[in-house]
Formats: sequence, structure tokens, C-alpha cells
Amino acid sequence: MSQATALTPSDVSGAPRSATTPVRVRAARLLRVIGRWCRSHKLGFAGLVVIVLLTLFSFVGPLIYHTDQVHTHLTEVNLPPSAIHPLGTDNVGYDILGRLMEGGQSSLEVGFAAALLASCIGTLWGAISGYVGGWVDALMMRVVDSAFAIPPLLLLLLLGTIFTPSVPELIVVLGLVSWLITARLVRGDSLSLRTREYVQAAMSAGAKRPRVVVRHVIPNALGTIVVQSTFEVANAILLLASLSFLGLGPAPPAANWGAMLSNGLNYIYAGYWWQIYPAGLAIVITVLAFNMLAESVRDSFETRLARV
Amino acid sequence: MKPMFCRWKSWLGPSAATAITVSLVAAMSVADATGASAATRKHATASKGAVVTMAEGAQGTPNNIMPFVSGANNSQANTNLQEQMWPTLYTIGTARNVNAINGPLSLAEPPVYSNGDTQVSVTLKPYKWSDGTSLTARDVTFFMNILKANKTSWAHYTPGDMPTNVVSWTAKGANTVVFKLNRAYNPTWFTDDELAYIVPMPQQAWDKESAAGAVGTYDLTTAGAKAVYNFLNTQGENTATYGSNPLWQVVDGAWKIKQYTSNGFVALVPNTAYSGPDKPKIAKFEEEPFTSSTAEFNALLGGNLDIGYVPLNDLAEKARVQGAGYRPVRSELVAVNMLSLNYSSPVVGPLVEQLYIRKALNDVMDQPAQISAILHGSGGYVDYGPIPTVPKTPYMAAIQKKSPFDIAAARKLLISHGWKIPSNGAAECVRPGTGPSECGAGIAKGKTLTFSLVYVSGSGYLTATMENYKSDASEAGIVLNLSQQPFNSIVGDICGTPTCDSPGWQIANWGAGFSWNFGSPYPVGATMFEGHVGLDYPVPKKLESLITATETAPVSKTATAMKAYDSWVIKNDPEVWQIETYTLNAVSNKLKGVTFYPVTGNVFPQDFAVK
Amino acid sequence: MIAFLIRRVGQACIVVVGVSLIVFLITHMLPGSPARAILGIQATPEAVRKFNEANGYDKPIFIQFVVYWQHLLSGNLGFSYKKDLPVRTLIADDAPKTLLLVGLGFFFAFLVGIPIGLWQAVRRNRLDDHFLTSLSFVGYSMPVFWLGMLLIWLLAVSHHVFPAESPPAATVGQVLAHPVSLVLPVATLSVVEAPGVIRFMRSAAIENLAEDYVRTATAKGAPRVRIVLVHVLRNSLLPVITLIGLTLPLVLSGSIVVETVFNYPGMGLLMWTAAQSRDYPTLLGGAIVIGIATVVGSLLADVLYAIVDPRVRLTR
Repeated sequence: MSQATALTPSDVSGAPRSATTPVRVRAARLLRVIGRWCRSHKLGFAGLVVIVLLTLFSFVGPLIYHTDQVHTHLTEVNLPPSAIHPLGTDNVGYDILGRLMEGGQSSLEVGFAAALLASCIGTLWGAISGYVGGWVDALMMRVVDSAFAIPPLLLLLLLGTIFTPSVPELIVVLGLVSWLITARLVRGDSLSLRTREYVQAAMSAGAKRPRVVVRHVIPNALGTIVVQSTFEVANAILLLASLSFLGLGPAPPAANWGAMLSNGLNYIYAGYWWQIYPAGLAIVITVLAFNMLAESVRDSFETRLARV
Repeated sequence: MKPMFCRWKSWLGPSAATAITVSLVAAMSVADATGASAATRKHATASKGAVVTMAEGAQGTPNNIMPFVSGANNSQANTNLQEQMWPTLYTIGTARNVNAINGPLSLAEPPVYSNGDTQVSVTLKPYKWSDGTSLTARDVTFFMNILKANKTSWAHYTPGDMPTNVVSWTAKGANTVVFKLNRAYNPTWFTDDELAYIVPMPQQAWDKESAAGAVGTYDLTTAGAKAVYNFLNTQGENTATYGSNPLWQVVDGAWKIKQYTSNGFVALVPNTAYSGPDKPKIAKFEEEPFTSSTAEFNALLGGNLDIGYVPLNDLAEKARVQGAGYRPVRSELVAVNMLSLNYSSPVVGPLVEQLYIRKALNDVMDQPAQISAILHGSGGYVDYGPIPTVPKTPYMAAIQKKSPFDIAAARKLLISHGWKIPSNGAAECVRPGTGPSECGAGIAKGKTLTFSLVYVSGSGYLTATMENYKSDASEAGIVLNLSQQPFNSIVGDICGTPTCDSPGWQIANWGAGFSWNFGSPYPVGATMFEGHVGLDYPVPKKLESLITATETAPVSKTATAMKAYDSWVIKNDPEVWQIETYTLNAVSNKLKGVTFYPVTGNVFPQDFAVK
Repeated sequence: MIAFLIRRVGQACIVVVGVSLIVFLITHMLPGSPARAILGIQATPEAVRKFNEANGYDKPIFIQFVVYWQHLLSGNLGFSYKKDLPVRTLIADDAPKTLLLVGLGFFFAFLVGIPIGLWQAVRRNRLDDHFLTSLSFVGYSMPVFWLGMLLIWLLAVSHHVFPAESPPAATVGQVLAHPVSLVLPVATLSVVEAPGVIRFMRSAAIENLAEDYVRTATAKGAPRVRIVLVHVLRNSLLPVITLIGLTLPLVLSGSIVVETVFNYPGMGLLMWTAAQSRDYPTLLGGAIVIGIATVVGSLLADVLYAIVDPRVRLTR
């Protein structure tokens, strides 16, 4: 893979560029870089396109395709796809296409928010641990190991018996079980950064430790963080689906794809395929897209790092 | 306080289980589907040597084998198991008549009431214990003595009722026990709701205070009876020894326990010395635990079960069930079903105190539409009051037969009491005060009609009905914020007794997961309203006297007393009524003699035979 | 090696304490007090007092933790009041069955994943590599319960090929008495685990293919098939061992769902029913046992790895 196709840290982090470069030129350069990347990472590009389309579908779709996702319609339950309901209706008469959009909103929101939360915690934890080093590092990493040892779903089962699941609580809980890998990776990055010349220079110039962490350690680990949080979005969406299946998801009429799928599976023998496949495929496609994107981005980074 | 005769039913499956009353405390075991499954994987071909496996209810596994049931252990899973080994004095309900005493399954001849219904005499049939000794009056008085000394530990205890309402019990000859009562009681009530809970226990084997100790007559003193109970209860809790403990091998029922595993699997084998009329025809009876109705249904359709049930979500799949080699058999419980309102909630207590608000809450529940759309037109029946709709009894007042569903009426009620209903969102009190056209005591101006409603998680059917309820309620300006929790969480949080004040909840729905199962075809209100820990309704004096009347009325006035009670309750709608579901059992075509007894839906596997 | 062992075991010990601390803290998050949550809302004050005394809950929190450890060390994991059995018994009954399920799942995941990963490494960036990558991502992206239900629908109900559920076996022996009933749960779990193995194997093999010894061997004229199948495979297998330790928590998460779908009487089902019935002692006991098992599992994987690859001892 050529150098040109790889994202450079400044492309990703938005680190300061020459102030004299006109905005238009910069934008054009960025577009060119992205364009090259897309051509060489077809799977990742496809993932990105799918994510954009799904987001549009979920958030812009309801503005065009209006459905009532609040009131049940017991006279129109379990209808197969038709002109009025392109994907049919569910067991209380909600239009499934409209519900896919609603469900997509909360699935994506939960996924993104949980991943964001996890990245924040994981980044700070890992950066501090790796940068400070010594016994602090050892202690902080043992905390990560300890939390890692308990399966996330078991932890969620336990927490589910203590808290009533609502969307904000689910985000927090999912975030709390997903920050561990980010923390490990960022710690690894910051460990190696500590020895770099410019960080040492900053230190000897009298920069304070928190400042070094924020200005140098975190930006340089940003690639890792972005890749890992992309994975975490996918994981959070999958975990949310499992939680809904185990009866620990948010209550209706709030919709999410996992709840739609497990609700549809209640009727697997009735042949209501339209209650199962759209929601199921939505999950698979979304998770797939995020994974492929993350994998491609990581691939570019690894190529770059290998070169350095 | 009256007895807690309520029974938990799991949402996971319909109840094919026996009529065992389960107190709130016993919430853990929610077994409702005691479907049996003659495991086809064992390929039973002849009755002799055949193994019949039955699907247990989704969440309940037995945890105490001793038939003197404590409140904490009063689960259907326990009582259903115990009944196979130690039958109750009377089993009420036959396949044809829900009100009749079931002769072959009862240990005694029908009770004889005398002295103006203040005295009952019970004569035992000639049964034998498996150790060879005869079942005698002593075994009944043994139970009564244990009960007298440990009444607060008994699941069916209610202050004022048995044993308090029985002045004395004496053996008359070897086989007759005479109960003298403290006043005249309605014989139907006393037989169905009191005598039917007595379990004769083998005094010659169990009247001891320790495993090594000798059998004596310890039950005759209060201290001794307490020690005996403690000993038996501790032994009964020790699930690891069920198959080996000699205590549990002395039975008068058709079965003995062979194996019990910690995940709830039970195997019973015939009691070879069984002296009843209906000898077991199969070699082994197994109860298999299932975690979810989905898993159970998969196993059923996969042909792995002999008797199971069709989950409420899958009622449309009758043909598929038949195609898999089963015949669907419906069984109903004598039960009603409602959402509980929290009268002691600081937030919504003043709201639900108002009759017009309770009426409005009932007006927006569309039971007929829910049955036809969500339950595919079957699977449940409407329930608008405290007398079970099915099976038919002479006790229901005419007023209970009409559906209250009317959103316009709910709106009118609220508007006429000073509420403003916006086009979207919660109604708001604009005329506070206690006048006839005002919101009512404790409701401030600007108070909104918003409730949190928690229901049992995991049931597609229940989720759908609650979504529909929320949707219809919103059209009358009533906002219901739904949340779902596992059955036991709801039960744990909802508790109205003074020891556990729980102001957090507002409206709670055990759903199909919870209903009043009267365990008797005589559905008196004591079981529901008095001293129950889940229903928070502050019982007025009027209701109390109406309930007492149903327990003490002479036979000729039974229906009148029940109807008067029913009418009062419906006029006051203390709770929100909802659909009561029934169980669609699936019985393998290879099996015959499988009957689900009314009242309880229980099966007695001694009747089973392989075709 | 000794120094490495001491350091690594020391770490594991600290982590075990950490796990126990997490579980201990969750105990204190239970609604009300631990005694109320565990004994139920109806418990008498007397029972609560006795419970607090037995568990040291009437003492300062530090002492409570010490008491908790005393109990752990004596094998006392608490008592399930819902099942009237010690938690230790429940776990001892069900853990081996989950170990069997997870073990078989891993076995088949490796059996399938290693050749595919190796093949992909050799065919890196060709069409079949992309295709297999996409396929393994699809496997990874399937919600486990959906996959399980699809298999049941297809192979147990529509066509009676395999049973839809597991027999209610008390022991591993009884599970093995009906091997066909293991097919669907193991298959589901393998599909979930295989993508990880494939990805790991692919990148390990790619790294190895770039190593000098491959070039040397190629230069010496060794057949490529032999180089890949003997050298690259052997050297790439090593890091894959560590995958077991790394993914164990995730796999156990998956097994909770799989056991629920297939009614398989293992730890996952035990945990799920415990959550449903608010059986806190069982949940907490399960969490600590699984936590410690994971720590020990990854310790073993690391040690094994260090034995076969001495470089590891230095870098860690």
C-alpha cells in the first residue's frame, strides 16, 4: 500500500496545519485523500456508504415517510407487505418500515453514545495509565483486567436486576462495559509515545503532565481510538439486541431493532417473515458496515505504523 | 387478614398446573405450565415401562417437598409435586363439574355438616401408607396439631380462619374426624376453601423432632409440634436428599420421588403400595424445566415432548401442533386478572383514590379487541370483575357482563371533574377542589394524569396488550409510562404490608403473569382484597361485611351473597381489570387418559396410559 | 522464565482480588440492603439480623470484605434462598456442562477457523479473501439468538434433523448420552466464535509469511505448500492460543444466550434464571466464579505461550 493512500495523523485528528493554506485547498486535499483511501479500501468504503445511508434512512426517512409509531392499530395487525405498508405491520399494527426508521434512530443513538462514552473513559484511563507508568499504570491496568474478566452480558444481567432499563441508563451501562479494550490499546500507544523525542522535549520544556497527555498522547492515539470506537458501536448494537432478547431492553413503544427482531421471533412459526428479516438484516448490515469500516481504517493505520 | 389465596401464574406459559394457591411471598415459583411431556426421545411404546415427561412452568422449580406449605415455599411447583405424593383431603372439581368434589382423587367421603353448619365430620376412605400402615384420623389430627402450633408459618393462614375458626378437632373411631366450628359457616366455602387445604401426613413416620430421634406424639404439645414442624421443614428444604430421605418415601399418593436435580428436573416413580382406585400405568413421570415458553415450544414442535403447552404467542399454530402429533387441550383456572393500583403512592395515591379516575382507567381497556387481534381470537376471555368469567358459576352479577370500554366516556368523566385534555399529552387538573365537578382531594391545580406502569418482561402477548392500553389511554389524556421487569422484580417491589412500605410503584401488572387463582371454585373476596400484599386497596367496612356474608351465608343464600359482593366491587372498580388467559395444552397422540382438572388445571399422571 | 511466572501469577492474584472487589461492590448496590435484597422484602428483622451477622454486614465495610474473602477461601459462595441450595452446589452442577459446550464450540471454531484464516492469508487481498472476510463478518454480525432460532426453525421443526433442545441432564455424562442434542447449540456457538479465530489466524499468518525464514525457505526451493502448511501454520498457531483467554468473557456472554435459546442446563441458563428470579446470591456467586475462571484461563494461555515462545517472557 502506498504512502499516499494512508491517512496521516493530521488528516484524522485535525491537528494544526499551516495557517496560510487556504481553506478551499485544504478541503480539496482532504477530499483527495479520502477519495484515494476509498478506492483502495473498497470494503471500508462500502461500510461507510452503508452507515451514511442507514443514518439518513433512520433520521431523514421519517420526515418523508410518515407513520404513527405511538398508537396501536389492532384492526391492522400482522398484515403482510402491501402498497400501504411496504414492509407489512407488526403484532399491534405498527407499520414496520416506519418502525425500522424509529428503531434505527434509537439503535444508532445507543450505539454511538455508548461507544463515545466508552472511548472517553477508555482513552483517559489508558492515556493516564500509560503515560504515568509505574505502579499507577500497573494498578490501573489490573482494574481493566478485573473488569474484563466478568462477561459483559453477565454484568448487564446483574445490573438489569438493579436498574430499570431506559435508553439513557442503557447507554451508561453499555458504555461502562465497553471501555476496556480502548483503555488497553491507548495505554499501549502512550507507553510507546513516552519515549518519543518530541514528548520528551515537551516535558523538559516544562510542560505539565496533564497538558502532555491532552496535547500529545491522546492526539497520537486518536487513530487507535477511532478504530476501536467504530468497533464498539457495532458491539453496542449487538449487545442491545441480546439484551432486548433477554427481556432487559427499553419498554415499548420505544423501538429498537433488537426488540423488533426478538418480538418478531415470537411469531417465527406463524410465517410472519416481514417481522423478522427487515429488523434482523438491519442489525446484521449495520454491524457489518461498522466492522468493515473499522477494519479498513485500522488496516491503513497499521500500514502507516509499519512504515514508520 | 384473610388468607392469601392468590396464585402466581407465569407469563411464560399458560397454567396447566394444579390448583395450588400460591401466596405473594412465594413469588419465586411461577410455574404455570405443568405440561407433561412424554418424551418421545425415549420412544415409549407401551404403558408398561413408558416414561412420560412433563414440561414444568417456565420459572418455577420445586424447592420444598414437605406438604405443610409455608408462605415462602407456597409455589405451584412445590404444591404440584407434593400433591402427587401426599394428596389433599379433598380435590375439588371433576372433568364435568367444577363445583363437585372429585371422588377418586379425594382421601375422604364428602363432609357432613350438622348442628346448623357449626359441625363437620369427615370420614376417611380405606387408604394405606406405603409403609403398610393405614391412613387414619390420627394423620388428619397430626396435620391440625402442627397447624395450630405453627399457623403463621402456613401459607393458607388468615387470622380468623382455620385453625382459629375451628374450636376443636377430635378423632371419632379410627377413620372419622369431627371439626367443631366457632359459628355457622357456608358449607361450600368451608369445604372448598378450608378443608380442601388439609393434607393428611403420616404421623407414624413424621412425628419426630430429629432424623435420629424416635417417633412419638410430639404434636400433642405446642412446643413439640413446633419442633416437629421445624424438623420436617428443614428436611423438606434439603433438595439434595429428595431421592434418598426415608421421610419422603412414606406416601399415600400414587407416586414416589426418585430423582431431583438442582435445575429443577423431577422424576417420579409409581408407589407400588398405592391403595387408591387409579393405579399408575406408566413406569416413570418426569417434569422437565424450561426457561422460556419459546424454548418449550421449540421442544414441543421438535417432537421432544409428550405433553406441553402452546405459548400465548403461538396460538395461531394449532395446526402445526397437531401436525407434530399432539392434540390441543384447553384448561382454565378459576382466576381473574387485574392491574394493581398503588393507593399509598405519594404521587398517584390521591388520583387512584378517586372513583371517576379508576372508572376512566377501566374505560380505556379494550379487552375484546385485544383478544381478537393479539390473542388471535382465543387464548383468553374478558374479565370485568372479581368473579371469574370461566368456568360459569351462578355467582356473577349481571353488571359484570358488560365491557366498560368507551374512550369518549372516559374523556367525559375527566372533563366533568375539572380536567383539561390536550390534543397530545397528559390531562391537567384545572379545577382543584373536592366538589362534585372538581378534581378531588389532594389533587392540586396543574397536576397531570401521568402514571408509570410496570409489567412483566418477556411476553410478546403482554407487551402488545400494554402497548394497546397505553395507546387507548393516551386518547383520554391519560399518560402511561411503560417499563418492563422480570416477574420477581415486580413482585419484590410491590408490597402493601406495613413491614414493607413501597411507595415507588404506581400501576403494576403481573399480567398474565399474575392473577388471582382462587384454587377453589368458590371465588370469595377474602382471597383478593383482605390482607393481600399485592393489592393495595384499602378495604372499606362495607366490602368487609359483604365478604363475610359470602363465607357465612346459608347454602340457600350463597348466590345472593356472592352477587351482592360482585356488584359492589364492580361499582367501585378498585383495580383495572384485564384479560384472563387460559392454557392451551398439547398432549401427545400416543397418550391417553390425560385430563386437566378444572379449577387448577393439574394433571394426575396415574391416569396416563400409552395407546 | 521463573521471574516471568512470578510476575504473571502475581498479576493474576491482584486481578482476582479486583474481580472480587467488583462483585463485592455490586452486592452493596443491591436495592435496599444486601440482606433485604437477598432474603426478600418479607424477611423478618430477626432473619435480617442473622444474615448480617453471618456475612459481617454489621461491621465496617473493610471487615465485610475480609469476611467475604474468608467465605470465598472456604468455598462458601453464598446460599440461594430461591432454590434452597448452596450456590456452590448449583455452580458445581452446571459449570461442567457449560465448559463442555464452550469447549466444543471453541474446538469447532478452531477446526473451521484455522484453515480458512490460513487460506485467506495466502490469498491476501484477492477476491476469495474479500469474500471470506465478508462472510466471517456476517457470522460475527448475526445476533446469536436469531441464528439459534433460525437453526431450530430449519433443522428441528421444519425438518426433524436435530433436537431443538437439550435433555434436562444433571451431569455432563447425561448430556453426552444425547450427543445429537448438542449439535445445534454447539454449531451456534461455533459460528459466533469462528470469525474471531479466522481474523486472528489470517493476520498471524500474514505476519509470518513476511518473515525471513519464509523467504529463505522459498529461496532454497522448498515447495510453497509445505512452507505454509508446516512452518507458517505452526508459527501462527501460537498466538491463536491466547485468543482463548482473550475472548473467553465474550464467549461466555454468548453462551448465556445460546443456553437460553436451547434450554441447555448450564451456567448461562443458571445465571439467566437467577436474574429472572432476583436470585442475587447465585448471580454474584456465578460472577465471581466466572471471573476467576477467566483470569486463570488467560494466565494459563499466557504461560503456555511463554513456554513455546521465549520472546514473550521479555516483552511482557
